[in-house]
Amino acid sequence: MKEVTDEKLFDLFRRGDLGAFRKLMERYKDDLLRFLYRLVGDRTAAEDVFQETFLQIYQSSDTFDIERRFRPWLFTIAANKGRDYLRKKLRRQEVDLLAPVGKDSSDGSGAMFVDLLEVDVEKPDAQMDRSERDKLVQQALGGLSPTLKEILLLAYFQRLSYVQIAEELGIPLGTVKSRLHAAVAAFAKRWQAVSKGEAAGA
Amino acid sequence: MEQHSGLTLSPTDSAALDALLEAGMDVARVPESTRAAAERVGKLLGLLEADDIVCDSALIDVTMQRLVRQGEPVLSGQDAEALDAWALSGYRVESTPHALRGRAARHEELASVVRDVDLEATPFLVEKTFQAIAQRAASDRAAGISMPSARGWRISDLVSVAAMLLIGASILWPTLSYMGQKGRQLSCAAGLGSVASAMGVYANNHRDSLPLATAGFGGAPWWDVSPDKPKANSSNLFTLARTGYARLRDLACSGNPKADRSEVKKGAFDWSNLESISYSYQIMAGPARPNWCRAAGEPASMVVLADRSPVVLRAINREVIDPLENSPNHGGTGQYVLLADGSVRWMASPERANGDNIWLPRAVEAIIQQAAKFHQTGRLEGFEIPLNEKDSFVGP
Repeated sequence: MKEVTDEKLFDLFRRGDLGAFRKLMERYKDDLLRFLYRLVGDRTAAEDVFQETFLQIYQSSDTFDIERRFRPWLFTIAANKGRDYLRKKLRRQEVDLLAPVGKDSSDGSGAMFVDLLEVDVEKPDAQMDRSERDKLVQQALGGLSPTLKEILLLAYFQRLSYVQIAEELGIPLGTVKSRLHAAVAAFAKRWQAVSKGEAAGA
Repeated sequence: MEQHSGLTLSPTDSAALDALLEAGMDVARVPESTRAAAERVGKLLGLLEADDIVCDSALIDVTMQRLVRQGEPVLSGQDAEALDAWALSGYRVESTPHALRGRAARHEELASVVRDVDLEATPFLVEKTFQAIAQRAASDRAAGISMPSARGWRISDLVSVAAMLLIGASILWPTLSYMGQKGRQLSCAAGLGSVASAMGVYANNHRDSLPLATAGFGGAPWWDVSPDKPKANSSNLFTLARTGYARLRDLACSGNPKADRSEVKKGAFDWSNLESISYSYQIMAGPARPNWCRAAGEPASMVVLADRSPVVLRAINREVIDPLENSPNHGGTGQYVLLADGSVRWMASPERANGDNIWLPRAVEAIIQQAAKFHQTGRLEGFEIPLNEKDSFVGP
């Protein structure tokens, strides 16, 4: 039997069918929590933002155009909420921001070129302990600004096209491109540093 | 002359270059004596031409990144190109151009590392989220905010569909399970759960206080119901409806055929009569009033609301009371009660495990116990108050 679409469920919810809202929540609960966990860095905060996201969905339900896709909307709201959380956290200075990894510049110009072929990327099923890898990923992500982290995760988790990201975040296409490039470069560089540090410490 | 590399043109070629420049790089206009040399120099300069090289946007992007993000890492040109191709292909490595596939695969591997999260949302998180939404809807209604999406909702819908008896921080799965086994009337329990939800919102907005309209009853019994002013204890519970936290139908039990399910009348402070009240509320007279959630999780948490008290109904009619009689709401089989921690329980007897009878204050319980020794009868006059904040004692 064909599964009811997200958009149809959301439409039913707007007509007062709370069961439909629950189905949507069940459908995305794991993906959303994982996305938020990567974004905000810890489970408790991710669960708080998870709740705020669905509250926002409830409050903004009338603004959603059901001709559009629900999933990107949900994750964009989640990303916004997560970004708000991170900004508040930064204001409270509770975050120990990692110093930029590798301040040295290979060509002396101030820029560091990242070549992915030089970055060790273990596949998830490789020998590194999963929880250890998870910690390192969080550490690497922790050094990114909320803005870079947001766009990186929208691309990595949601597989949104540049056009979709531009629409959802309300930024020009060119900005999406340059911001995502910067995010990938920053993450790759930090991942390289933290994983090398791990290897060195092993 | 400034020496840049230690190499210089021969005098002939130097003169030819000057002539060529003067002729606007047109060999034909160069004097014939130096034309051959000028032609040679011209060809040499032609090697520097690069008309067929177009500066593509990726190079501009990379350059801009370098200008703007001094000190920040920048993707190599090929990685940047591969990222764009990978995204453009819907993040499918196999759909990227062959030349970029290796690097696109690297992007995919990097993304996999980030996406691999060993985490699942617990049912509790979903229920908690639902509860938060239910409370928000109730708050909005109380504040007069009309949420278009919630127009058709009732609090009982919110609660029963979502987490029927999951109120506040309390988890009621054991209760649900118990009730399921016993085949009790879940709809009634859900109704009481919805009252709990409204009460929780009220408490949140009133420093954990339970709904209160009056703590003194003007010298009259607290069961003297008067719709025009807050005289009876029931006016305290009515506060939930009067201030928009619940509707009268939310406060109506299906076990009470005379329950009032109408809209709250303007200026009303209480139900119109005793029979239309479905639930008995903790007597709020006197200084000892329990707070909401004060005893969360404790087995002996206070009962703050119950199916209507049969004892009070008999006391009003001056009939002999049986302290162990169950509520008429469920045919005398037992009663649902709402505890101060937000949970709903089914009690087969009005006497709790700690000996507290929810229909009576401690003082009357003591009198009855004492009187039983002398074959006398205890009485309830409607002026009694709970002994302390741990004394469950409910009435209309």
